[in-house]
Amino acid sequence: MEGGITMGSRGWSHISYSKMSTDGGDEVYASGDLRSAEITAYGFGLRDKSMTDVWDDFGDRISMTIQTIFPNFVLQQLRNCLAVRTVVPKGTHESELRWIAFGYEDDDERKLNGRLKQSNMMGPAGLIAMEDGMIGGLVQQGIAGSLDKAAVIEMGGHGIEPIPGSRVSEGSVRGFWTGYRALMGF
Amino acid sequence: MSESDLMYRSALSDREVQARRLIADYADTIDDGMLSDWPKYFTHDGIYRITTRQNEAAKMPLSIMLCDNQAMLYDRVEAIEHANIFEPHVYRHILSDSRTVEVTDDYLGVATSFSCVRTMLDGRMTLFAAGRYVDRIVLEEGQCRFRSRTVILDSSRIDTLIAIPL
Repeated sequence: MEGGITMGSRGWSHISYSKMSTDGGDEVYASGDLRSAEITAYGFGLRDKSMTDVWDDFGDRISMTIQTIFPNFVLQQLRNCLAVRTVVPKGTHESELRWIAFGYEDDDERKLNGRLKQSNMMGPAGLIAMEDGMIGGLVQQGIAGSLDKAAVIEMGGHGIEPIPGSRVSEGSVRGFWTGYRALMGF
Repeated sequence: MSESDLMYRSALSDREVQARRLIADYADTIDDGMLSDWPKYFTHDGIYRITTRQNEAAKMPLSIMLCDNQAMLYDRVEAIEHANIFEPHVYRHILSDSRTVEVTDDYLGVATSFSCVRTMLDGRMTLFAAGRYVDRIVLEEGQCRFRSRTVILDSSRIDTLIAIPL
């Protein structure tokens, strides 16, 4: 799947994206026969296809993009599920993630219902998103007993330069902390 | 049982008694961890959604979870049991008495308050959710089933995730 990460000039903000229809993934889901073959082959797959009824909203073939504006604003496009998100710190050990989903005034019924249904991918019960909050929590629990230790995983190197054509990098996370450290004087 | 209790009970129609049993069975099924039985409580075109009081008041249609047919409910079960990764936990639902809010030839409209305590594997317990079930219950193949079940949460804040349906 085509995709990548575009960094802002200082690396504080970034856009992560992937494009659809480059690996035939959509065609697979478009066919009920293939879907049941998928269930037989892998033991699981979707019984209901309505959530995968997607369209190209902006004519750019981008199926998924997360745009992060430093420090805490996120613009989200998961297929046709559009939302702005904000991360609100509530203390040193707690933060809130807020979602505001939106569509367009001239959306027809199919688009409105499609967006509402695809919203199953985001939020606390999101098929894609539900793990996101938990993973941070598990890491927090894991490191609580070893605050004097350090571990580094250099996924995508240790700089903030994007890897062309790849999203497999923590460069954008390091970019955020670069901004944080600059502002906080660390 | 007092005389007024008896009068109250006898005032319930057979349909209402069955609907209440459905509501109690549903909670037990989830609390017992029998998730694969969850979709059987709905009609084939049954709608299950979780929303918030705030969204309802503002007439905003967004759901935290939305399944508008039984196949989608099975897809959710599969995602929870095989695809999504989360810390194991169980629910305990506490239900209020159910109030019949609408009676038609076709369906029964019923509202029930609930609270749900979540217990994690290590014993941590939290009051996870409180709110109201608003149901439309129909008789299908001799069984009471949900044509729609809307879970309206009092709070818009969820602690980390809702994997298991409420």
